[in-house]
Amino acid sequence: MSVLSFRLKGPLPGRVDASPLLPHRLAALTVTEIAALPLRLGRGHVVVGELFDLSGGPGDTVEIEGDGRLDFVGAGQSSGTIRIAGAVGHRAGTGMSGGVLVVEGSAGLAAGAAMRGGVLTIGGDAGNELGGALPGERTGMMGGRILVRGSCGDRVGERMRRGLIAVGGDTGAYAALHMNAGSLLIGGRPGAATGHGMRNGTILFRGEIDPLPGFADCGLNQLPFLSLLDNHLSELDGVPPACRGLTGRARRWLGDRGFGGRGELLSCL
Amino acid sequence: MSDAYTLLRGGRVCDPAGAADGTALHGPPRDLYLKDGHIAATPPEGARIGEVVDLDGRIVMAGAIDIHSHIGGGKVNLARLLLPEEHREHGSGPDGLRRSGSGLFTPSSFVTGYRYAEMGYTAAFEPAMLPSNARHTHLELADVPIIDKGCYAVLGNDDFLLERLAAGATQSEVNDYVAWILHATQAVGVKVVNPGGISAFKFNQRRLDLDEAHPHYGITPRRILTTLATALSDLGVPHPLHVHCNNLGIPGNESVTRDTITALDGLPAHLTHLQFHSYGTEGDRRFSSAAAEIAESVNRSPNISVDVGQIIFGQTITASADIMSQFRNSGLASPRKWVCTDIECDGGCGLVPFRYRDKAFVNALQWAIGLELFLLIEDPWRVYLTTDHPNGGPFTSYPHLIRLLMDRSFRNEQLARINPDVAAHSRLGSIDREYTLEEIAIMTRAGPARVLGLRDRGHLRPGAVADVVVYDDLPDREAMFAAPALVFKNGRLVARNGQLTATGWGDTIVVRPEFDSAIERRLKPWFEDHQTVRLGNFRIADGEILDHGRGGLSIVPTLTASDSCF
Repeated sequence: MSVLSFRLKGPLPGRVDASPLLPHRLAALTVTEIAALPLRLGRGHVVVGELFDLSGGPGDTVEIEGDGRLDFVGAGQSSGTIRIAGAVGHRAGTGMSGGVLVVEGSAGLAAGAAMRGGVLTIGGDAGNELGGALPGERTGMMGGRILVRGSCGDRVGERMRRGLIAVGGDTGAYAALHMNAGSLLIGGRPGAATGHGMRNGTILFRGEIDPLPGFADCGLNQLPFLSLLDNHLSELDGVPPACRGLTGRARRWLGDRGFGGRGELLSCL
Repeated sequence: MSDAYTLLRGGRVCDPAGAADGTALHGPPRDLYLKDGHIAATPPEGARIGEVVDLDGRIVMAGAIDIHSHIGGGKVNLARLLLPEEHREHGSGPDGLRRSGSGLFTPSSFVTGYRYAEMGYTAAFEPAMLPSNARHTHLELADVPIIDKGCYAVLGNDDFLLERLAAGATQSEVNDYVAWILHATQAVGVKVVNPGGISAFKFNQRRLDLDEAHPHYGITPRRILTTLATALSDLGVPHPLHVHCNNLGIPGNESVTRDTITALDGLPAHLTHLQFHSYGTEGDRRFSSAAAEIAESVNRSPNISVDVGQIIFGQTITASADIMSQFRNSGLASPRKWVCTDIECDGGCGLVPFRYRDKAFVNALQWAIGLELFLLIEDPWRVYLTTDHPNGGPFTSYPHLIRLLMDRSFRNEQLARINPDVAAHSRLGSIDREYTLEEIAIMTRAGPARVLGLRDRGHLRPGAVADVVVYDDLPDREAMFAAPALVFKNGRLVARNGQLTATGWGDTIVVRPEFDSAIERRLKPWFEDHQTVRLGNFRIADGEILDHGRGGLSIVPTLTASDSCF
């Protein structure tokens, strides 16, 4: 299996749109053609060869040296593997429908927004709107998995409809805002207004929480599905350890009743 | 100023509003001289000819004019916000000539100007500027490049007028108010949207017929309509009242449309997007075409001009001040999101995204009704080509629409593809008429110019603004009108073969009828008590439009007793 590597020649001079660097697209090109591909840089364009040294051969794996100004990495990815050594900018894996995107460092805003399939793994922290919705859209994430080892910003999983998000660290405010379905696992502390406007779906976390008044306390429960979920998580790569070890005992709240919602907050013991 | 002429040599000039020899389409080719942004008379011997463009018998027309196209202002902006996916999918970056922009059926302001110019359109009119949104509208239109633009101020649901009418205001007071609004908002005409209906909606009325009293003010749409039409006629505003009739989109609304024509009783008026107002209730589905009845009524009324508001199959968004109808249609939104809102008690704003499907009986019949209207209204001087952009479809579908009108076999091919029940419910298949190039030139240029009172546009006589479009005479009229060979705006080449070559700024077209400024004594306290801005700040100054030379103002002369309206 051949691997194509992009090594940065130096720090990026501005924000770069890396969305053309998808394995299935590059597989059809030669290295010379890839070096001549135009990428958006700010308001203008730059060719790949000016920013990166290329090595290896096009195949189904792409390795890119990361930079906080490299945006749209893996946006629209449908197959293959992209591995980023370092951080990425905004909108990594936006609209992703398949394949694997591994970010070893941190990700900026809206990583995995409007995701439909595939796996996005982030080794560091993620910014606001992780696995969220594109502006103006009625639905956010519709499938796939997002696994974050560190913490994330506000509005993770906004308008989520399907799929799984696991965050090893803390989440910001308004986690799972207007969630419709799907699962959000929080290894650290949930932020303010978690689950606001949720209609369905599940948010799992540890420890104490002061839920919004729209959530009805349903007391302590023994939920067999949690051990099934834990089994499932054990089979997956890259699940943050803080999200593992679910025993099945959980305190449960239903809401957000202010929106006629029947989603659940589960404080797992 | 330059003393050199540009010579467009040997074109077949199609200029129905021109001199007696104007329609030289079948005669010998003619030369056209442009100088200082205007069409010039044949210069004397020895005059300096700067540039010669050989047209080799290509067809020459004046720049096209879109009389009704929602291209700016509050509701268009809300429409853009409502459908970000449209703008994500249809974006374009700057290329040295163009600025960046986006959108397909609610294009951003720059894209709007570029696309119109590339299609040979040199003027477009925003038909629904709420007075309280006027400044926003003008600021946005100031960013529409190349083309000339104008706005119709929306009246007829504003509480000031309704309250004054209910209190028994005289016609002359209304005249002064209308004229004041035209001045203050820099408008070129007045539109009335669902007269009284938008206001009645706020009092929980869900439909309002022509002689139904407003639940609060007690006045009827008929009264509002005739008062406003009379006001414009008294003031000598060339563009007559632009009427969006009551009960848009309701099966059976054809009676209200015909009653409206009767109610106007000879007063000039322009009925807009007539297609949406020509529905009957016959047949199993209680939805049928009343195009024949409406067309007959229009044919019999020389005071009435119309534009059609043809629908084009595909995704678009409906944007209208008529919240009564938009609220009713909100359940049909596709994708499933919509906005209905009041705007400063002046009117309303409803946005419902919509996909016209050719296999759906209702949509397919709407399509047929629009074409029936085009083909059954006999006088091309009184029916204009519109899709009510973006309500029926984007303005970029005009070339397709022109082909439907000019090519009967193409039309029947399309008719055979859509919902089969429509052919049985519509007489479209049996209509033989095909529009000629002269008739297209009338309905897209000469006619709109005349009904708007634009004396120096829409024709190619000496003295006219040098907005000139040159077409290759292709058998496929859609290809021909989609990408004109050359487009000149103010004598400058701006597009070649449907591609932009230069950009610039057009004029804002306004009308300034005389009035008694004593009306401000009544308006001032009204603004103080009920509006969010004071009267002095409400008024848009010329300088705001002129913007240090970037914009221009073109004032349409008012009519005097000796002018005929039509």
